[in-house]
Amino acid sequence: MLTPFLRIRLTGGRFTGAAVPLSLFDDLGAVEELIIATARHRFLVENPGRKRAPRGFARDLRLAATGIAEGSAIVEVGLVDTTAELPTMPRRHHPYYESARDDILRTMRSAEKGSVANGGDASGVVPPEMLHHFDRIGRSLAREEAMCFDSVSGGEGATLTAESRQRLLFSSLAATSITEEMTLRGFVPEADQDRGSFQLLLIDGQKLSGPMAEPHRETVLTAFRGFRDRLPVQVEVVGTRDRRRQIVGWEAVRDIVILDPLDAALQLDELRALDDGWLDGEGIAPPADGLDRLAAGFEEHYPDELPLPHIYPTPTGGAQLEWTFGSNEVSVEVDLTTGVGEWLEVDVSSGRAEAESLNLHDSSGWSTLRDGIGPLVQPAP
Amino acid sequence: MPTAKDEGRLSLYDGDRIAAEGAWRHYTEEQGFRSVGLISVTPTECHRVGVRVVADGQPYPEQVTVSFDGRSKKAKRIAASKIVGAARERGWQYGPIGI
Repeated sequence: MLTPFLRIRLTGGRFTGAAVPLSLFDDLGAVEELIIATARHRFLVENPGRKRAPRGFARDLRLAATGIAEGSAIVEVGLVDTTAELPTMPRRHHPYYESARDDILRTMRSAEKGSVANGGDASGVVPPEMLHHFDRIGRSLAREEAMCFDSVSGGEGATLTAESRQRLLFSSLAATSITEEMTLRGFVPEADQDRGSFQLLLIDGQKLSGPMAEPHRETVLTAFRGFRDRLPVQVEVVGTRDRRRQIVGWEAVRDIVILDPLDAALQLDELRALDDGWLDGEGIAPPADGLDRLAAGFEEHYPDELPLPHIYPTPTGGAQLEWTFGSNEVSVEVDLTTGVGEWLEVDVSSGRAEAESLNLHDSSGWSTLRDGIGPLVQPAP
Repeated sequence: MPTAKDEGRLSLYDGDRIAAEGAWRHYTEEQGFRSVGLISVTPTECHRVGVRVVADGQPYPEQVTVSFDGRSKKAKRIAASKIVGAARERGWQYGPIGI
């Protein structure tokens, strides 16, 4: 027997276009574990004479994804009664599961508002020692993404974002660190095949280490051999942050690729490491969100076939993109706040110069950039 | 490209008075600034794009100033691109170091 129980609506970023990433099913497994643990806790609170939940409490009722709703990225979750032939026993446990769901949503709502409610067992929230379950829920959420949990019983829903998830986890008594999926870029100064680990030197000089899985060994060793030539890599990891929100390492590598030395995101990481005064006491630090947006623009709009620019900081907190094609010097000075870029193409031999404004916060600006660079590229001999 | 910090002027070393490595050491070790290397331009290349070169010898004897004064930002960028193009063509005179 199946009872509608929960609806999880995925919004923003990867979820646009009604797509539910397969990797999200690990998160759904963790949601089930949290609900079972909270339901068991609720049972013990409401039955103070009992030392443990009854046998079969977690076995006879299971949560299952019962459908992906059309038209949006929505996962329908049902409560499945696996002992339909013995209807009396499990039905008694349904209310604990429903209370658990409501407690979890109430706790998530408090995290949305800024502080995680912790009012003791009778307050109807998840106890702090159980919040560590959120470590596996929503750890791939990007800044613009959210998981919206709707109670199908008509109660108030709750939204989990990367920010509210951090609050939940750092309210957990058990959590000294939290994990989240992240992208790191840098160099590999050290690889230990015996221990199965490697070190990553980030652009800002920080060194992180973590395990190296067999499928990634060859790429790690290639990057290690290329360290002196500054061969960069991009690593997708389940990264670890400490309570100060600092990245301290990783639990697992999802993917690793060798980067072009001029990779735009890598060069923009270098600009990210600048502080105010970087230019011999002067020079404004480029704004982080502007760098994020420019890096995302290169990722989305700049084709692999075109040569990458050298990217430099400007004293006013902007970025300057520079290409050289024979006697043509091309530079685009980008205001990282407005996205406006001033294109300048100078043919050094003839003296001819062409200037144009383009907006890199807009796809048409990137189109103008591609149309300008494309014809300057010499065809391969 | 000259910056507001340098009042629209570029400070260079006079290659007739100090060699590339010496200029780099003066800039990094004596003045304490950071640099990955040294490139060069000739006075002719500067004159060709209409910027003024003055061997002012201040605050140290080898100092030469290239002045972009009186130009719009766009005109400064055009002149700077042409000078950089000439320097790039000639290549590194010292370094690059650490890249």
